[in-house]
Amino acid sequence: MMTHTQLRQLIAEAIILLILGLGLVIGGYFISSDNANKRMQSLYHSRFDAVLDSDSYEKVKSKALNAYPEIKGVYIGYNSSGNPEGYVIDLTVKSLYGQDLSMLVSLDYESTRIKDFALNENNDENAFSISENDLKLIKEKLIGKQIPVAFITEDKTSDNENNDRVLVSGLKDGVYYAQRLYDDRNRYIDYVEMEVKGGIITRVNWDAFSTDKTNDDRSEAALKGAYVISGLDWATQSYNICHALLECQDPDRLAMKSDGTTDIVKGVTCDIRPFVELSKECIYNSRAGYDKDQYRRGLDMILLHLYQKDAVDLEYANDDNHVVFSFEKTPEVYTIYNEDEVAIGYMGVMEAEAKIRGLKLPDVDGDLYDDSNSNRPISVDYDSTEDGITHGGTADDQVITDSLDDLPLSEMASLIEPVPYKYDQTRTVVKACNTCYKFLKEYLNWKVT
Amino acid sequence: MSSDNRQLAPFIHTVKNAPYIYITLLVSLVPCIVCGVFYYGLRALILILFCMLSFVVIDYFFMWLTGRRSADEYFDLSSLVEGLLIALLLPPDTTLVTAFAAVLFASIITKQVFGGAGSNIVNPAVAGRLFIELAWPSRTQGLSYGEDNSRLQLMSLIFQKEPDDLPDLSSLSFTELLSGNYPGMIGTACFVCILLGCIFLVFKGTMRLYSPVSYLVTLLVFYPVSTLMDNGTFTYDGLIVYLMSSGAVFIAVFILGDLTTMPSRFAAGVFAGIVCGLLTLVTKSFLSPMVSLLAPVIAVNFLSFVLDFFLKTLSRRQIRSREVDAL
Repeated sequence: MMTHTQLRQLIAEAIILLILGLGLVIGGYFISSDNANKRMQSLYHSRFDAVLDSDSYEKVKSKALNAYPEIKGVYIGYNSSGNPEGYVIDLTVKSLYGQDLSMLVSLDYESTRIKDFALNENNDENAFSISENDLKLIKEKLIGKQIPVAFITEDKTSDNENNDRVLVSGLKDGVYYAQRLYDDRNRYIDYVEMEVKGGIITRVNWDAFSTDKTNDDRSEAALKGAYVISGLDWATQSYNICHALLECQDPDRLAMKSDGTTDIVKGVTCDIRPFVELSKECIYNSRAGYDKDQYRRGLDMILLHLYQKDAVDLEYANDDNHVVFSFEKTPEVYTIYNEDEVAIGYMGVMEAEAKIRGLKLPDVDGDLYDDSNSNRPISVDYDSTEDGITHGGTADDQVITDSLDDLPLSEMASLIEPVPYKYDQTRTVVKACNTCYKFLKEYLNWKVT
Repeated sequence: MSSDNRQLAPFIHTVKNAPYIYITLLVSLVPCIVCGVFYYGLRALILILFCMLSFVVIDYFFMWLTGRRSADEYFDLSSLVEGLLIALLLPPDTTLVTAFAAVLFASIITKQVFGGAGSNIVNPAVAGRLFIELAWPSRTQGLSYGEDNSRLQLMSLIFQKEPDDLPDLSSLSFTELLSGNYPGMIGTACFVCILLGCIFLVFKGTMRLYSPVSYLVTLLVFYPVSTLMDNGTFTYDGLIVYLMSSGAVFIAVFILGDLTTMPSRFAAGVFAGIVCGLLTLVTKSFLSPMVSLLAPVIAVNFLSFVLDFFLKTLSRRQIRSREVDAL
């Protein structure tokens, strides 16, 4: 057996080895860690420069990643000043036919718009491939778009036709605008700006500017807490309703009730009547080709008619070129009366301009809806829908239940069409982008409903 | 022999008895433990303690079951050493279940079935580690590195992690190779720590150097040939990186220096070291790195007693029977 002396000696030697080992390991770590960091950055540069050319990269460690096994890694790129420039997300998603698409997606740090994306090398048998040319076309569609991205599907379902998108026919491409001609009790004038591409509404913005020029716009005031309504803040509700319209493409399908609210758009409790009416006016303007510039000239025409000066001369134009003026004292300019001189509705700027000039309204070709023969001005149509019931719908399709990549369509920030004949490729890349959004939403704790 | 003048019992040949040798081995592995715990944190420490404790428990349970042990016998330290060696040969993100499987195989199949401490033919730690490498190769790839690595991470002890993308080891700097600052097994990465342990063992006289030295020299000499045959190119950097990062030095010092499973004679030890080195080089092109390191060790373990038997027969008249302090 061992003697006590031997044991004591071995314990002393173990302590010496422990101290020596600690010294060597810690010293070696500090001497070599610079090399290790340089090598790591060099590795990151070789991988990520193609999508985000930053000075340095740092891997994101987050528990949120556990819920997204398809995401291999998330990195933040920093510029030479140490400010974050964007995210790089390395992920693998399944295509429609179960193949793996491995790619890097870079997103702007502030706006989370797609900056670029590239395919990872994947020699696996089950790898999903996209040719360089197709990738270039998909990039043209996606780069600069804000995530999440909605996607016009090519799938045609016949089991429930009521769920099909009801597209408003005859929309002309361009940017259209409509504003209320009178302010509300908070002295805000609502406006809607709508962009149409390929006959589809691709962007909608609903906000309001104050007739008191010292006040912020409504969305900004809401975010600052200066404009408070029940439920979510007004800016978020505006965002949600705009995206609901992008999804359904038709204001009538928002199922506005007689009190101006809707039950079918999650997170929207405010009065959406101004939005619905102005959206309809934008749609009507789009069908007539009456774009934002013409609308602005139309407002000037009304002012000239009333005050012999345009908005600039009257100093009613603000920095954003909105006409900050309420026509509440001259309702006869925009009000529609019946034979008994009872007001039955309001006309839009295009109609008001036509009336002042004594011109006929532009001829709007075709039907407004596929299932309707109406060719009517929007201004007299805002109450045409049944209370809380969507246009052409039945009780089964009153709720917008469609989703893309497990995201409600009301949450979508952008809408794209697939690259012609490359549906699967476009769809899979969109899926990757939306997966990035889902992760960032959880990681950054975005409060989007 | 020792200079200690005290009278030893007639059946004890040396003061460097089994407990002394095993404690010396444990002490020599302290720097490697420090390195593993420093780089991989709490999970490495838990894996080390778990493997040591479970090896002891399984050994004692099996001996109690077979009635081979009485209560007044000394504490068998070989279990601690074997458990520690298994842990140091594991990747840091190994689950406890996988580690336990290695310990179970090592303890029962390769040690107790053959008669327990000192009677095993193959090195239990190597056999246990090789077993899980062959049985669950995907479970022995957990090598967190760089920003993926956290010293406080414990989940990998329960849930198997997906293997990370590891950097190309050929780009490692010399200081990284020396200090173990790169993805590797818990205890095999730090060259300096292994060297420290080796110096300690040599200083204490509880290690036979001829097998480790012949093994490393064989790798050094024949690596260029092997690489040229495999890839058609050879670089000295590649040789240094292979020797320092593959775990070959750890195997040489702590496995091939083993007194139980390696030949006791000089010639046999050198021969075993050369054979082990050659087998490693031959198999490295078509086996996984860990298998190509461990399988040759098992092969020479089987060869050892045959070599010892023949060499003892040949030199019976000149040399006395096997001594543990052959140095």
